[in-house]
Amino acid sequence: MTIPTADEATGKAESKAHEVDETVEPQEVERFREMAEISGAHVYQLNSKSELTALIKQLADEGDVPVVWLETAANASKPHQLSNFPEPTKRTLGAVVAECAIAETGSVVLLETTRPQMLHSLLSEELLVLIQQNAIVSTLNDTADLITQAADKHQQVTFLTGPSRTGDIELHHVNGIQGPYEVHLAICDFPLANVQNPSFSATS
Amino acid sequence: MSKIPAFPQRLSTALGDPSIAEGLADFQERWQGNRNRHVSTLEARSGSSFAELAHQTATAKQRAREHPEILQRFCQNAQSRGAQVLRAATAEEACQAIAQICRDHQARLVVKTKSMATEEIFLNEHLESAGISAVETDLGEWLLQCAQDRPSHLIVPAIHKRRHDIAKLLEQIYAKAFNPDDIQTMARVVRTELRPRFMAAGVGITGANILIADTGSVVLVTNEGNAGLTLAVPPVHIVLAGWDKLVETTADALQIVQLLAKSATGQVISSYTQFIHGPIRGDFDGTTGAAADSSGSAGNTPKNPAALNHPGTNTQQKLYIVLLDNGRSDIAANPEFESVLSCIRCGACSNVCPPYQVVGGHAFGHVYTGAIGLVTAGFHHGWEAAAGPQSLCVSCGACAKVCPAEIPLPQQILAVRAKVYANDPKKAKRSLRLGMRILRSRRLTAVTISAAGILTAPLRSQGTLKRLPLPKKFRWRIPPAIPPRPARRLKELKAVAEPPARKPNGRKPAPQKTALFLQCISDRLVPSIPLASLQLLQACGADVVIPTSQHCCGLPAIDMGDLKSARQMAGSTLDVLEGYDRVVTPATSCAIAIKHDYKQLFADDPKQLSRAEALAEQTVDLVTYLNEKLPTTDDLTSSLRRDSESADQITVHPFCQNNTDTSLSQLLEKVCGAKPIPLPEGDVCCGFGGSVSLSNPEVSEAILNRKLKNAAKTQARVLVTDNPGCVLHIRGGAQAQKAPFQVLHIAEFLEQYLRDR
Ligand code: SF4
Repeated sequence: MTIPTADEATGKAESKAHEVDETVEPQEVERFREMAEISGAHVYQLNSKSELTALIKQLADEGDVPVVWLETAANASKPHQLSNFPEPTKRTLGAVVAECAIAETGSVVLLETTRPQMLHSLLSEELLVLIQQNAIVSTLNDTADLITQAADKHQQVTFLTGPSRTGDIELHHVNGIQGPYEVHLAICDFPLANVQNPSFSATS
Repeated sequence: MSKIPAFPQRLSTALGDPSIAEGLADFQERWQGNRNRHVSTLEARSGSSFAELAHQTATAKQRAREHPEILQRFCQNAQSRGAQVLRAATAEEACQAIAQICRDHQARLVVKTKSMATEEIFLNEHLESAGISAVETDLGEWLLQCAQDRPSHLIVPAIHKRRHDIAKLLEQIYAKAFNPDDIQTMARVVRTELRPRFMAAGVGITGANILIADTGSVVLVTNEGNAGLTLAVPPVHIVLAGWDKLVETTADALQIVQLLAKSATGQVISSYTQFIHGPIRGDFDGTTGAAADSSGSAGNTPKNPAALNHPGTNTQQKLYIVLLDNGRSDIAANPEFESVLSCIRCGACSNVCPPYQVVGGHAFGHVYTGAIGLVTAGFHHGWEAAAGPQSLCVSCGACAKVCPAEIPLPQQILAVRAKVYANDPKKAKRSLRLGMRILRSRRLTAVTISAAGILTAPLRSQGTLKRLPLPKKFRWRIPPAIPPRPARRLKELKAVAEPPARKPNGRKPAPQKTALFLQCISDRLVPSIPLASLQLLQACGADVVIPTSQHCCGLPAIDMGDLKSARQMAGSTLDVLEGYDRVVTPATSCAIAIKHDYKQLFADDPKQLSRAEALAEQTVDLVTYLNEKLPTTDDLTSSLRRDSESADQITVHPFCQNNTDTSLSQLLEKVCGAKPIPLPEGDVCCGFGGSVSLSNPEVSEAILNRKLKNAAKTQARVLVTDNPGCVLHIRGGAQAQKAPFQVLHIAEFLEQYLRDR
C-alpha cells in the first residue's frame, strides 16, 4: 500500500476555503482545537505539505493501514464500497477535506452528495479530516448560509464532531459504535489546493 | 397496538427495582454539571441568557405553527428535491402508510434509528403483524428490543438497565459470557451485529429532530453513526416526523441544534448533525438486499456480495417523509397546551425531575417520558393514559427552568390534572377527596382538626405524634402533635384580630395596615410560625392585623386538579385579604399561589381577575418582605446580628418553586453576618409536593431521603426553610431518622434569635 504524499492529498482537495478569504482570528483556531479535543478528536496544526505527509505516514502506521481518499472511493472498487461493508473490524484510514469548521463546537462540516461519500466518513475505522485554517468559522450560526446554499447541490451536510460514540450503558463513553473509533483533525495553514475535486465535479 | 401495562403495575415494578434510581441518580448528577457548564459558556459567548435563548427557540417553533404556509413550503421544497411527502392524521394511518411503502419495495427487513414518533404509533408492532421485521440500530434501543422492553428516557432509552443486566442479556443472545465491567466490548457488539442488517435491509426508517421549510430538509442529530447508515445504505429511506418538528429557516434549525445536545446529554453538540436535503445518489441498483430481497431473505446478508460492487451508477434512493398528526392539531387548537408543540425532545425536563429520578420513565410517563410525557400522553393516547403518571408530579417547577423551549410544563401538568379530575373526580384517592371536602370549609376544618387533636392528645410526645401507629408506608415521617389551640387563638394574635365586616364588602379599606395571612397548615399545626411572623412584622414597624375569617388559599385544591373548589377558596381569600396595604405570609407556596395561580384560575372571569391582579400586587412572602425592610430597619438588624460563627451551623432549603431566588440565604446572611452553608442540590424539591406525600408516599420518601442525606453532609446544626409544608415534611423525616440537625421555619429561627438576645 502506498502512502499518498501531501501533494497528492492537497491535489485531491477541492479549494474548500474558496468563499472564506479573510484570515481567521487565532483565538478562534485555539477555540476550535479546544472544543474538538473535548469531543474526543485528535487535533494537529500543520504548516506545510511535508508536515501533512509525515502525519499521514504516521497515522497509516508507515503503510500498514490502507489510506483511502474520498475521491477514489467514489469512483473505484476500493474499501468503503458496499462489498466491504460487512467487515466492520478491518482497519482503514479514511481521509476527507472539510468544507469548513466551527470553533464554538469543534465540528467539521462535510458536504456529501453520493452514498460512497457518506459511507466514507462513517465506515473508516479512523478518519482524517483536513481543514483549511482560514475556513474555521466562529459559531454554528455562521454556517446558516452555507447550509441553505448547499441544499441545491449536496444531498447531505454533516457536522461531524469527534468520533462515533455512545453513552447508552451506564453513560460510560465508548467510541466507535457504527462510525470511526478515532477522528484526526489537521488544521492546515497552507493552501490545500486549487484543483477541482473529481468526485464533486462529477456529481454537482 | 402495544400493551403498556397499567399505571399501578408500572409504578410498583419501578418502586421494586433499585437499579432505576441508582442509574438515574448517577446520570442526573453528571448531566447537571456538564449541562450547566456548557450553557454558561453559550450565554457568555452569545451575550444572551438561557431564558432568552429558550425564548428564541419557542418563537421560531411558534412561527412555524402559526403559519400553515410554512408547512406547505416544506412539503413543496422537499418534493421538488425528490422526496415524497405523506400526511398521516392518526397513528393507524401512519403505520399503514409505512407498511405499504415497505411492501411496495418488497422489503421484509427494515433498520431503524431511535425515534420517539415511531414509539408513539407503535410502529414495530404494526410492522411485525404485517410480516416485516424492524431492527433497532441505536445501541440502547437494540438492547431493549432484545430484552422486549421499552425506552424509559427520551435520550438514554436503556438508562434503567445496569451493566450486569446487559451482560446477562448479551450472554443469553450470544451464549457466551460477557464481563459487565467491560462496557466497551458490550457496546461494540452492535458494530459487528448490525452491519449485515444494514446491508440486508430494504428500508431504513428514521425520525427527524427538525424539519426546515426553506430548504425542505430533514435534520437528524445522533451520536453513534447508526442514523448515517440507516439513511444511506438501504435503497429506501422513510422519515417519520410529527409536523411540530417544523421551523422556517436554517438559522432557526441551528438555534435548536445549539441547545439540543447541551440540554439532552450535556454535550456541546452531538457527534453527527445531518442536514438531509433530498434522496441521496449512488449505486442503488442491486447494491443491497433490498432489490434482491424479493426472494424473502429478510435478515440475511445478500447471497452474492460481488453483486454489490457496482460503483457510481447514478440511481437515486427513494425518500419518503411521513408527517404525523396524531393529536397534534388538537394540542395546537388548545391555547393552554399549544406551546408544548415547541418541544425539541431533549429530555432535560426528566433529568431534573425528582419523582422521575425515583421511579424512572416507565412509570413517570406513558410513551413519552418525563414532564413532557405527562402533558402530551392524553392527546396522543387518551386521558386514561394520562391519569396515573401525572399524579406523581410534585409541582416543584424544576422542569420549566431547564426547558430550552420555554414550555410552562408545571402549569400544563396541573391543567392535565384538572382535566383528569374533571373527567372523573372519583379517580382521585378517596382520602384526598374527603380531605378536600373538609378543607373547603373553614368551620369544618377547625372542628375536624380540634377533634383530631383531642383524639390524639394521649399520643403526644415532645411536640410530635411519634407513637401514632401509622401504616408502614407512612412511617418515614413523624407527624406533628396537633396543638391544643390554633395560632389564631393565641393571645398575641387575638390582640390584633380583625373580624369581618357585618355587611358583605362593608369593611373599609385599611390602606396603612399589613394583613398577616397565616396559612392553614401553620395556623392549625405549627402555631409557632404565625406567632413568630407576627413578632417579626411588628419589629419591622408594621401595623399588623389578622383577618379572622381567613382560611386556606386553595392551593391544595389547585394541586389536586379540583378547580371548582380552588375557585371557591380563592374567591373567599380575595374577599378576606383585599384592601390592605400589604398581605404578608410565612408560606411562600401560598404567596406564589395568590400572586400567580389565581390569575390563571380566574382567566375567564374578568371581574375576579382584576381583583386577583390587585391582590397579587399587595401580596408578598415573609422572606422577601424582611429583606425589603431589614436594610432600613437598623435597629432590628443590629438586634438580630450575631457573630459570624453561627452561620457556619446553618444550611438552607429554599422553597423549590422559588429556587432561583436567593433571598432566604441573603436574609440569613444579613442577620448572621455570614453566608449559610450551601446545601448540595439545595434547589431540588424536598418531596412534599402538595398531596404527593400522601398519595405516593414511597416516592415522596425517596426524594426526602436524598434531601436529608445532603443536609447531613453539610454538618449544619439547623436547616432553615421558608415554607411550612416543607418544614413539616423535612422535620418529620429528620425526626424519624433522628437526624443530627433541627429543621426550622425562617420565622421560628429569627424569633429564637430575638428571644435569645
Ligand atoms: S419539554 Fe422542554 S425540557 Fe422537556 S423534552 Fe421538551 S424541550 Fe426538552
